[in-house]
Amino acid sequence: MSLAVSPAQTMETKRHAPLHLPMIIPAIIISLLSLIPLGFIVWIAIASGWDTVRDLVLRPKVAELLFNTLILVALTLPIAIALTVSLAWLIERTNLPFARVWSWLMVAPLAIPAFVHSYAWASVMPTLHGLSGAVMVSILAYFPFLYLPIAAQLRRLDPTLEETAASLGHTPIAIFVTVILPQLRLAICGGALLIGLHLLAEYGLFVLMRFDTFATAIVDQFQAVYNGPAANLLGGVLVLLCLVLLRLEVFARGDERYARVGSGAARHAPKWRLGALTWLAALLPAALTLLAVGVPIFTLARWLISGGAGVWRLDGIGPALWQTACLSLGGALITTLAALPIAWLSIRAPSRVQRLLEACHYYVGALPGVIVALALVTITVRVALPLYQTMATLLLAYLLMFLPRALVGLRASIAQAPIELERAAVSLGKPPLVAIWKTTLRLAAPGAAASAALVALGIANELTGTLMLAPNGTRTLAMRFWSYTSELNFAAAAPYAVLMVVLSLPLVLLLRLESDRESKP
Amino acid sequence: MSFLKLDNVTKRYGKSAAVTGLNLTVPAGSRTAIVGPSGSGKTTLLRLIAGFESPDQGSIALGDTLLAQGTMSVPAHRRGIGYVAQEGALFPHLTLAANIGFGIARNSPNRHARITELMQQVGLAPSMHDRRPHQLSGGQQQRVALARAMARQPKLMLLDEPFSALDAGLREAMRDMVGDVLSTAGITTILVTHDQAEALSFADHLAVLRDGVVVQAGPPQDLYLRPKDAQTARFLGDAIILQARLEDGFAHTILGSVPTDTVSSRGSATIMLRPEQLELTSASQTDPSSTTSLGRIVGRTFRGSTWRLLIEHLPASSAGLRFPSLALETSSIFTIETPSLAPLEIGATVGIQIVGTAHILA
Repeated sequence: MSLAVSPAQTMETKRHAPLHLPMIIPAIIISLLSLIPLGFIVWIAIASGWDTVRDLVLRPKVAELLFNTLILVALTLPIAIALTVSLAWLIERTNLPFARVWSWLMVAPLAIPAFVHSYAWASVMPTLHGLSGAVMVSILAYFPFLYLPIAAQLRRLDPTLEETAASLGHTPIAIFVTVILPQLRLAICGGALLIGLHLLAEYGLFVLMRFDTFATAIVDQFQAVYNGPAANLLGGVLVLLCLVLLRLEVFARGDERYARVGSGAARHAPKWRLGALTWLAALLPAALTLLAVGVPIFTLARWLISGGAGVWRLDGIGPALWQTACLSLGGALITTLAALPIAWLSIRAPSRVQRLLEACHYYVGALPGVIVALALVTITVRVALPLYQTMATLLLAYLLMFLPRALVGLRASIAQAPIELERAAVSLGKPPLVAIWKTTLRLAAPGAAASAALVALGIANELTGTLMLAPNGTRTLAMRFWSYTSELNFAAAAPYAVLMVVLSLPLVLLLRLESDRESKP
Repeated sequence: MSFLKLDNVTKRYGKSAAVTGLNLTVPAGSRTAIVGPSGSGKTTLLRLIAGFESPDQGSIALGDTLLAQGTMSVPAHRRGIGYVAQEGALFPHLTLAANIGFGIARNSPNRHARITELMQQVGLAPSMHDRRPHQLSGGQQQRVALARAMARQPKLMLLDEPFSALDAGLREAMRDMVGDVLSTAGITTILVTHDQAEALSFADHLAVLRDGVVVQAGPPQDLYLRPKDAQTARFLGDAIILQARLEDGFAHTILGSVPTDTVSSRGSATIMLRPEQLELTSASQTDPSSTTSLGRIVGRTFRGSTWRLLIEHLPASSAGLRFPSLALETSSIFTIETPSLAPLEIGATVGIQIVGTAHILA
């Protein structure tokens, strides 16, 4: 693993970038791979010619889609942030009864795929649809992405800062605004970005809520006209939206250092006494649990009961289960490994090049699965036919889609490993890559496992990309569920939804435990 | 004049009591140091005064204001007590100036001037105005923390081991700087530390804390020379503890006889000497018939201005013969520092002479 370098070369590398080179090369390779779908869209736009672009993009339908997508993001994110910050504060920093139970239930909705949430609401409350339905189900399905980092950060905060602020005459409310909230900024930005990207890319949820976004429009176009330029060009607009979202996050995140200054006192912050407000406060997590966990479970139970034993067809379920497990775990492993170099660079050597590389991943991650899939279909058919409809192509698609998800977790866990350890290892004679492997990556391993879990969760529930790219004969749980739901056979779909939830549960537990562990002060 | 008064204060965490029935008076305008080993409850005591915790029992009063009585407690933000935490606890998301101005109202007309003045007071260059906490050295961070705490002109300032994270040279300079700045500003100061040397040199009023109670309080010189018990004696510095027989204002020990600081008591007792009270003479000059006892040098360490000598007491002295029951309580080996000008070789026999008076321990 070590770089064979002469002493002179060593001096040379040291002066420029002590440890960066062995990380930059794989990062660049991964980023170039990431650019494939983007390059594909650019190529389509150029190949289509300006007139086609104008005809297909500058039309009222696109304006409507744009409005829908923007209003969806603009409504969902602020509500989700306010909701999760209040929840996390109540659960972590007050004497709310059953705080431990609530904190587990707040992660539970992650085990239910977004389109299953939507399926549950569509069958419980058929009148719920359009914008209000889309916003509500989006929040219920995605708020744990915000809750997890915010709660972890709240547990990690140094209580001395709050005490100091109190000694400077700030009231508890002023302390919350001036000391606690700014320290939650990174967690809020990261979680909001993740949700934002999901909103832009999600297909199943919005189809069932009968709400048109770019993603649903692109899939519709694709299904109507195989390999048509309309879908691809709409994808181009979506890429622009992602770019705006990414810029917003970078702007909101700022370039401040978030590590503690000094080691600080290893103490837990005292819990606020809610007093008479206790039961009122407990209503918030209770209501959310009911809506985000209770409703899906209730609906699934109802369909299972009405379907009886007949819906459990082992010849369909067995293979689907096995294929889903293999694809999830394999895809998660590959994606996490691929995310390592760029995550490491973003913490250790932030630079313009690194931001550019990172941006590549984000854009592609924000593309709906169908765009990635479409790009890979076209490219394999035109350039590398033997790879067409193979597992390798499917795994590459997963890698491209879920890289940002792996990055968020990895970046946070690498940021916690002090760079001094890497330097110490190098000074003890370890070559750069070995030094990183033995120090930072060793310390980041639990975080890496958690982000791998997130990726596996994503893959297990991924629908559209899998539908298009999977080799013949592949039938994952999500594919079966969707085909039954599309036929309005809700009872037959229920077993697959239950299995997806069960399969996701251990991953959610792992995620939750990890966030507990890393936030111990 | 007492300024801060803690009366019978108790604080428990679960079953273990951090502070039990503690009484403490802090004189107005004083620099009080609260010193104690780790786990003695000193940080809890500070947190109780600051208002980050409320006592289970007892009362805390600052001047005429009652801060806490029983479980009723004025919250920290209404106490107007300054607080400097162990490593400064600077807000990582704010600039240096914003940190210092944190306690000054945003719309205060002379906010900017006040920040500049505070920066000058604690010796921070105006050019550092926009620095972030992580760009500052440990010493600079403590300066900012001090300026920030002074911004609201507190009557009382609490320092929670603020120098422990700094390296030795800087620590002393910072201690002097902080002491001077706070004295000039006329702010009563309480320093909590586990470092007895720091406490002795910083304070004009010292309180020794052990197992949640104040064992002894008073001027540092008094506590150093006249500690209440052997444990306090050893905590405040090297001590030689001896069995003695008291007679007519003298303590007779195996090291010889020495006047005591109180003349009233008689009979056997335990006395304490500080090592600097032992003077070494070359054995050849010692009159064998005198009461001077003898010792042999068994080890030495060069410390620059002094040698730290390990001396083994030689028991064949007249004092030992007169009082066979008396022995050195610690061991027959003790350490003494002597000026490095006249080095004594290992193996040399020396005469040991006691100067000053012996302190009788309770």
